[in-house]
Amino acid sequence: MNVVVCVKQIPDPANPGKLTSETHTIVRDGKLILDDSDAYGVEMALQLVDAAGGGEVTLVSMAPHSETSGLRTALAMGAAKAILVSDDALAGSDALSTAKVLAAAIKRAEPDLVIAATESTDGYTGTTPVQVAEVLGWPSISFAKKVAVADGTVKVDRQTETGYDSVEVSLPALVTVTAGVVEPRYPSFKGIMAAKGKPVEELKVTDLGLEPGQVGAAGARQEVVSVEPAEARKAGEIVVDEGDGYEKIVAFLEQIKVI
Amino acid sequence: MRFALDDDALEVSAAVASFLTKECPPELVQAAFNAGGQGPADDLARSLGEMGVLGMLAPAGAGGAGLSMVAAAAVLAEAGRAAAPLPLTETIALAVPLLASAGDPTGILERVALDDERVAVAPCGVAPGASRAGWFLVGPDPVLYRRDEVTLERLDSVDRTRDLATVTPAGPGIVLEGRGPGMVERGAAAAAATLLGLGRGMLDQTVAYVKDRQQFGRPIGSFQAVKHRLADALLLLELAAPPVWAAAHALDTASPDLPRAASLAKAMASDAATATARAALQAHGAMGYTDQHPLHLWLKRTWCLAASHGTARWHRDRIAAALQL
Repeated sequence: MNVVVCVKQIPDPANPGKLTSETHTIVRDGKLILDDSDAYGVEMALQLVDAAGGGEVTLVSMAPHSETSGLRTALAMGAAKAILVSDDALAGSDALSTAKVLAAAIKRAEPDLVIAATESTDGYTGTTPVQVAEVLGWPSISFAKKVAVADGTVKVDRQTETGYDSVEVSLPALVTVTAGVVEPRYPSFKGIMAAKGKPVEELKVTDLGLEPGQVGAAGARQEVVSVEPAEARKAGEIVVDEGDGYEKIVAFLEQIKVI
Repeated sequence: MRFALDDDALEVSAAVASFLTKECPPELVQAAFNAGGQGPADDLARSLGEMGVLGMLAPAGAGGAGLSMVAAAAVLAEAGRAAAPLPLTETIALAVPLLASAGDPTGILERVALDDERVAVAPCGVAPGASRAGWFLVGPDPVLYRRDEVTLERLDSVDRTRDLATVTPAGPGIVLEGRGPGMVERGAAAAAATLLGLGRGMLDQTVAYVKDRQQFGRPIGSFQAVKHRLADALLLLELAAPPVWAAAHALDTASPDLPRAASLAKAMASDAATATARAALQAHGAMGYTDQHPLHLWLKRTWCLAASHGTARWHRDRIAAALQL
């Protein structure tokens, strides 16, 4: 079974992020790293391929400046190869343009299953994966907390607010996985050294049969008009315990109807 | 000569750093300290074995990754930064490469790389990690002994994760032929890398602490007396780093300068880490003097490693002798 994992290479979340002043898009100038939330998808894909007893995991990514640092991390975990779409024409792409590009790249790998994270850690739109499935014309299941593949179908426990739904669709399909679907492995030193020799196919927009005007800022149907800082969280109330602290706790819990 | 960290060294050390950040927090180091270098430390050793860290200097065919000593030094620096409660200096940089270069006479190398078997190293007759070891490498011209060929006598260490014992051979053992550069140089270079990381770890924690701790209505890190001490510590650590990488590179290239390079690295890294330990302890208002604050774990490891594999003074004398001063 062949699985494609959509992986995003993002600016290190440990550093404060920046937006461009005019278009309000994320600045991606420095070294990019593998989005932590994608490590779960890579691990899930590796386990599914293992369980199927054959096939391979292919990474698909779209990133500026021919960036491969994050791909190398996922290749070191055990993915076999990667397809990277890197093109100046992609700057300013909205989620739908990104989905068209990823879908076109995914087709080349002819996978049975596509796995993505529920959302990226930098952009957080959370819409790209299902758009990819729609462009491909494949079914998609989001928020998977358990994934199993058997007899041409994928069975998923889909996280809900109150528990989970059991959902089953036929392959090929796209599944987005939550953090915690599996515990990602640490890349071994052998994996890190082997990753250097694994193929990364780099493509331009035109290689995918797309027109530059369909993607990037030119093709974007979405515009970020303005950006405001999130409202600061209000400070909590400090209660000094003068022997009656427990009464105040009880009163507070009653007020919010916990007791 | 280019001895700066190459891509391999940067990648594997970054992988170890990210592993240790998650899997070796100060609470685990403290728990390992309480358990005398066992318990959680054993789990950590197994994971490091699976990752290929322990066997990184063994050839690719023998369960290793065939990496360079420069890469090993970068990894040991990260192990030091996290105060990983294991004798990694000895396992990674002494036991594995010495066994490998001697042709693995007892066929244990792959098991050692996976932590299925442990080899304790005692260049001067004292071995860290002694109680769990099945084999012992003893003496400056190392001879390999099985556990039942030596007598162990437990030694207390200020750093309880060290699990020290004096090792007295009582059997013929196996002399390691063709093992390349000696225990002194390997041990000094590796300990220097670990000390550099310990120093960096203490400085990181201290900088975070002085930014947070308020006195007279402002963070104590805003006071010049504090800032200058920590800047001095950073300066010493930065100065010690190139000699550490150079010593590792000298081992990789079997340079004739190796004895001097290894001694320079150990002398400078010992001094830098010890001075950083003092500054860190003072900036923490002497917290770390007791074991109520995790800083003590770094301090004690630093003191122990500064005194192991030759003190700074011993190495400076060696440099002087090499320069015929």
